Formats: sequence, structure tokens, C-alpha cells
Amino acid sequence: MLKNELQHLFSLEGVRMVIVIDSEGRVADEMGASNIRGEQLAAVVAFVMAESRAMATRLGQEQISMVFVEFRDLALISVPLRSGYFLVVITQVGANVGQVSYEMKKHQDIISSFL
Amino acid sequence: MTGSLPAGFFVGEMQAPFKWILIHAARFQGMILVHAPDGEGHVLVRKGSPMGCSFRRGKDELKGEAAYRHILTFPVVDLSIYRYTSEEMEEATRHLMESGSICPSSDTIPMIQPGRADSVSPHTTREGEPASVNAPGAGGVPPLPRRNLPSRDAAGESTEDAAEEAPVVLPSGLDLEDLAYLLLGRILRLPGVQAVSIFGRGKSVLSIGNMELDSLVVLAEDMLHAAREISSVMRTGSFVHLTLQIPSGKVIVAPYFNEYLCILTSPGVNLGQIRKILKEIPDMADEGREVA
Repeated sequence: MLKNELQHLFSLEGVRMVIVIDSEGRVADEMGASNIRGEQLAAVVAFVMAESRAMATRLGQEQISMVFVEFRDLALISVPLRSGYFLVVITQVGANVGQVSYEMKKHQDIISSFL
Repeated sequence: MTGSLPAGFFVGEMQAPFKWILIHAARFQGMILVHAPDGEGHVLVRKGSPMGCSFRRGKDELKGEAAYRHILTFPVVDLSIYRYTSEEMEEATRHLMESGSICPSSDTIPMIQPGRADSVSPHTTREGEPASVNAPGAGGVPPLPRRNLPSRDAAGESTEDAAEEAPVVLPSGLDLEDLAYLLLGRILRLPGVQAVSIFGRGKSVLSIGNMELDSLVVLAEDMLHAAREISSVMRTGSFVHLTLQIPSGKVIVAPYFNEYLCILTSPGVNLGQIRKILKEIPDMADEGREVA
């Protein structure tokens, strides 16, 4: 179940939100912070991923492995899934970003299989 | 500037506004070769001051202050930097005086000016007068590969605006030269780092490394703007950095005072080392960094 996979990521230390979005910025599923509006976040993250893809293309790459955006109070990690979907995790300060990104990549294929 | 100028010691190449390089050249003495969209020339520099200058534009050769002013009109030029010893500086200065390429405003130049320093003359070779402005020394210097530099018009700047470009404003007590060299040098020396660029408003200000980053900074800025939009939907605090990871490497974008750094790396780079250096950049509570 997709929910179970998201739950696993959400249970990691410092994770505030887990969300799966498509390339158009629509939310496929989400879990976490009630004070973050998933639809709005999805639209913005889709924009970030589109610009990142443009950069990757310019560098001769068709694939993005990961996009990591760090702010003072939180960080956003996004990895591509199958069929143009993205898995996005929001972490708070102090989270083990290395572990979170490792778990995201580890569960990429499983989550993709549910889409 | 004509004549057999000393070859000097090749320090490196970069792309930057000429004023920028002078800010970084407070302890430098030597020759800087300039490649601009409409020609190329030389500037002899001592401790951050232009001592003499020439610039060949088609058949015309600008000398002295006229050449220097012309170089300043370009927002960005390609630069090749050659360090001179004291003896080489003396020799170069003699050639400057002989060719009438001294910058009159320089207070380090002996007050002997055999020719008009700001003369503009069609480039004609006379007997006994070396004509080349391309080779600073008898040994010659390999020409720089031409790049598609932004023209003044394309950059949306008038000649006067570019010439009157505002100086870099620094926080009090901060030495830009030391900071820039320390940070960029440290980043570039890290294993896996291929190139580093300082950019702002879609233009590369300074680019160092093995790869051309000028064409990437526009895309980097687009990524940056998209990332900063995240702050419009949640409370994020100030922007720290963005890393795009692709199979062939990483692109890192981070604030650098009022501008941004773009770092291109191979896949195996140690991101922790880069982040450690980025965190040493003094925090600036200005609009360029605060996005919350």
C-alpha cells in the first residue's frame, strides 16, 4: 500500500511531510503537516522540478536523481518516481537528511509500483 | 600597447567585469589580456591600478585611457592574467611609454609621456614599430578561445552605465579579495569540483574552473526562483542552498552576498565539504538571501 510506504518515510526522525505529486503539480497522496497546504506545495515543487529538468537537459542528462533545497528552517527533498511522479519529503532542522534521502531512494521503486 | 612585452608567468583565465578583477588585484602586478566582443587588448596593472592599456578594434587601435575606458564599457570580458616580476614590470613600462599607451590617470606611471596617451589611431604598422597587440612577449601567448560574450546592447546596459558601474558594496570590515579567493579557491580545490561561478541577474560575474558555466547561470537562476517560491506556501526561513543531483554530477546554487554561487561537480564529490565552506560565507540579512 502506498500509505504504508509514506508512513515509513514519515516516521523517520525530523520528517514533517511526505507527498507524492505528478508533473502537473497535482497531489497523488500526502501525509503529514496539517499547516502545509499540499496542493499549493505540489504546484511549487512541480515548478522546481521542471526548472531542474531544464538544467539537467542542458547538461545532457535526461534523468534527475534528486533535488535538495535547504532553507534555514526546513529542507525539501524530491526524487523522481515512475510516470512523471515525484516523491517529496519536507524535513525540519536537525533531521538526518542523509538517512531520509537514502530511505527515499530505497523506496522509490516500491512507491512507483503503486502509481 | 605594442612592442615585445615580457611574457610573464601565466596565472589563469577568467571571465569577469574588468573593474571586478582590479578589485581583486590589490597586490598584483602584471599584464591582463582582454578579449571583448569587438576586439582584444592588454592592460598593465600594478597594485590594482591600470598603468597602461591598448585595445585593437578592427583596424583601429585604442591606446591609453581611451582603450581602458572602452574595456570598461563591457559588462563582462574574457581575461588572461600574467604575473610580472619587478624587472618585467620595468621592461613593460618602458614599452608602454614608447608606444604611448600609458593611462594618464595612473599615479604610478613616471611622468614621461612620449606620445598622446589617449590617442585613437587607425592601426597602421610603421617600420621599426612592432604591431602586434596579441602577444605580450617574444615567446607569445596562445590566443584565448573566443566566446559569445554579451554585448553592451544585449546586456541592456548603455556604455555610460557600464562605465559608471557601482563598486561592490561590502559589509564593514570584510575584505572581498581575501574572501573571494579563499572561498572559490577552497571550493575549486575540493575533489570532484569542476567549476565555480558567481552570478547575478542572469549573468556570470566570475567564472573559474574547467567548464563553461556562463550558459548555465540563467538556468541556475530559474531553478533558484522556483525554489524560492516554496517560501510562498510555507514558512521556510532564508534560502541556504539548492542541489540538483543528476547521474553525471551535481549542480549547487547558494547565496554569495548579493549574488549567487553556482558549483558544478562530478558525482563523487563530498557535499559535506562544500556545505561546510558555504556555511562560512557571512550571513547577509539582505534581500538577496532572506526569502521568508
